[in-house]
Amino acid sequence: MEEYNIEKASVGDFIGIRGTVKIENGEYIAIGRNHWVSQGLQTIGSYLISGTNITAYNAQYGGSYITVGQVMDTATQQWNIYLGSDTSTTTTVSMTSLVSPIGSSPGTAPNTNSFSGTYSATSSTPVVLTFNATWNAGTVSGTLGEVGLYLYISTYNLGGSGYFLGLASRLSAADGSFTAFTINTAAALTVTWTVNLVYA
Amino acid sequence: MHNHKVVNMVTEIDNEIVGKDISDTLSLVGIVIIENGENKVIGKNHWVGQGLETIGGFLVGGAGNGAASTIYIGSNTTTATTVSMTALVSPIGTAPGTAPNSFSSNYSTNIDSTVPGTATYSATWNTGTVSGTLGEVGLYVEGYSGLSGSTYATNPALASRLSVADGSFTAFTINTTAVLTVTWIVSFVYT
Repeated sequence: MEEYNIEKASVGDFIGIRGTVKIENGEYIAIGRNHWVSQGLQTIGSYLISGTNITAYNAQYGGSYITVGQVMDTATQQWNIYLGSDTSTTTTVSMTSLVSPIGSSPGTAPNTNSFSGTYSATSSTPVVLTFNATWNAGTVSGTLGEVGLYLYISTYNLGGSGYFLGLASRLSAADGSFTAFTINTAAALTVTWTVNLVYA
Repeated sequence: MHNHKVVNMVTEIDNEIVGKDISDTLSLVGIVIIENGENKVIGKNHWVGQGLETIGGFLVGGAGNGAASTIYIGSNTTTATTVSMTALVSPIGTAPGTAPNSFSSNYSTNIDSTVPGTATYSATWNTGTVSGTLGEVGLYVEGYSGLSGSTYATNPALASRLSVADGSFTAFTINTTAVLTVTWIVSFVYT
């Protein structure tokens, strides 16, 4: 994916993660910007594909209700991609699902999905996460106007009530990100979603 | 350098500390390819608030199954941060460093603001527990190794560093008659 232009185009198509540090020691106070290092990107990238916080879950419920194997081994539990037909609603940061999913909400699941990740500390794109989803010919139909990347949203660290598969990012015709089209039901539909963590 | 007191730190971050150096801000960008017969689409995605929320929760809580995130301090004043660093250069105390006597973290969210998510880490070393020159500080985050999402790092790993060598602050000799407090704020921004 490195060959594609990833310059910032509009608000919301990049997330910036910025760190600031305050040090206090007696009368001394210092404030400065941190510098991220590659394994910071690596662990955030790995989290994006698994989306769990087992320690927090077990702490809340006082036991080992979730084990590593239960949560980690089924790719479809950790992320998914859904399709929608909306062509008029621009993305807002408050969105929690596609506007008009194709199929019952959250949408018709792909027939197959797969994930791959690459990591190179000194690359200009040190972490590249690639999510692939394929719908077989004839399994989805209508206008394709929006696509959603759903990740496992964990709110236990934030006082929330649980884990759920939720919209993390959206590609939509209404944002001008692509031109809506009528799905060719005689052909498979494939979505390849690449997330790059870059130093900025 | 920003060696002065602040009243509202988050506001000051926004107003005064805008990312200018390589690696002081992480950017997360998504590109989508859609293929369906003769139809082929390439576009950039838009992140939404709960996408930031779950990453924020991870930042303060870690991935699970390991030790908690923490902060260590070091004395190095000459080595600039590189992206390949995996530890502080000269930790104070036995590597990875003397653990703070108290540590806390939390995440706050206001998805409609210009700073929609903020993770705040606070570490305190009691009077006399650390000494020497303070030249570097490291944020260690519990997490994974590799990108499988299934292999945990044994210990919290250095995710980010504040150092004198980068020009981020001025080194000083720790006053051992006073507590030492580090407050580390990680802010999400839509850019």
